[in-house]
Amino acid sequence: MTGTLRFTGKEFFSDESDSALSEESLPFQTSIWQVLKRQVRLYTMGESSSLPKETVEELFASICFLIDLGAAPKGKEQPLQMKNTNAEELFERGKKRAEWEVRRGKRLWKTACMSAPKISNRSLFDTLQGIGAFWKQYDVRFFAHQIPCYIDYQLMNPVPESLSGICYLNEYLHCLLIENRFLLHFDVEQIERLLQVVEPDYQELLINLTEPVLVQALGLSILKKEPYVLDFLPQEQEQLQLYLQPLSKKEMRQVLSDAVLWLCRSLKIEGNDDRAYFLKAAQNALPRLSAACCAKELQNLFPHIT
Amino acid sequence: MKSDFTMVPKKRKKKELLGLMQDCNQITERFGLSLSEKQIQNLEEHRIKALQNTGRIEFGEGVLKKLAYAFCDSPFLLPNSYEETLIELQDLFYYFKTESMEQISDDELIEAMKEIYNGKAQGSLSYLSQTALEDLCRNLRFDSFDSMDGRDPQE
Repeated sequence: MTGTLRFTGKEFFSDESDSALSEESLPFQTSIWQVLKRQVRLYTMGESSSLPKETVEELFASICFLIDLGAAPKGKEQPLQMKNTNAEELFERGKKRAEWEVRRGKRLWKTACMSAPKISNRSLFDTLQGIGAFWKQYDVRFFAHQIPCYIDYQLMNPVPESLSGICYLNEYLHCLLIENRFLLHFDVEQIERLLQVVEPDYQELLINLTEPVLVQALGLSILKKEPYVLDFLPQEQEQLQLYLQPLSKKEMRQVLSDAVLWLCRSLKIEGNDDRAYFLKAAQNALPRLSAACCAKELQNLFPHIT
Repeated sequence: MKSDFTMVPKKRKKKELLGLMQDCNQITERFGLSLSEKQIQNLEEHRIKALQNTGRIEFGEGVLKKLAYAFCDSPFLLPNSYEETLIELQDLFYYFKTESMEQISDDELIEAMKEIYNGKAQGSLSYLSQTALEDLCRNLRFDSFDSMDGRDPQE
């Protein structure tokens, strides 16, 4: 062994005394080193005693990812006590968990493909197709933290960059399914009409298909109107302007949150995840709503489509 | 857990080096080649430098023993240049291991080095490094690119 390993594990260890840098964690560090050695031996099939630094770093990142996954509680499980666990055990648990996540991911992907809106959009199509290649390329054994496919289609709320590997992809697919389910409540032709107004080149551009629909539906929900029409008549735009103009930002934020809940009730969206997702997306729309309201140009945000 | 870490090449302990020296000398002494304690330490320092220069991390026990075993019966290896030759061979090994893009195993590379050194190169380390091994690695790289493109490398 010719390398020494130094790493920080603040996210992994619950408090400073448990930190990977403390003396107490030395056995844990040593066991990670043993896992790395074993992984290198497996990777090279015992035919090479040395590897490029970059490859070792990737192998190590994969080990860290799997250890994290192995330590994370699943469902109602209790979090593990780190002091009584070694890296080898967590690594093996993580590998099994990653394999389980892959099976879950395949199901999510199939559902996402089947529930995708019947709207032509190159980036959505390419992304779903590209994820199909992920299942062949993904390497749980050595590079579990990597995402070997292109994900072009942008979601309303981006998946946190802190996630990696299969966890990133599953979170992406989970969010995509929320968006797909939402779009299924609306008439495809009506959505296309709205998209045509918002961005005529929506079929080719890297834009999210759900956001304009959500914003339009939220605008209608503020006025307690039927969200399915996805259309704002000029008098409705004026009505909304009059309603929103005197509100402070804080009040506007509250109005948006109420609109999300009202919209979820009218569309019979019951999932907590779905509701939280739309609340977050609505909050992201707040700066634009506030700016459009100040400029008295709400018609740009809530367009008349027919 | 953050995979935030640094790999620092570490010298082997004196005890390990002495063991290595004994292992090497046991086989090579019958060919009139042996390493002293100072020489093995010098070789270790060069190994660390070679790993740093080529950006490699070593996990096993190193290739020095394998190199010594493979080259000890070479008619071109002389006792007074044994240490320098091993240093050079060790450097070349790590350099060409990287150049071959990991397409060749340790044993295969040592075997190729030995064959060229004793054959075409006639004991010339310059020929070995600047001509034959460059060609070998170039061919390996092209083979791997060809197979990536789905082309037959023999075409």
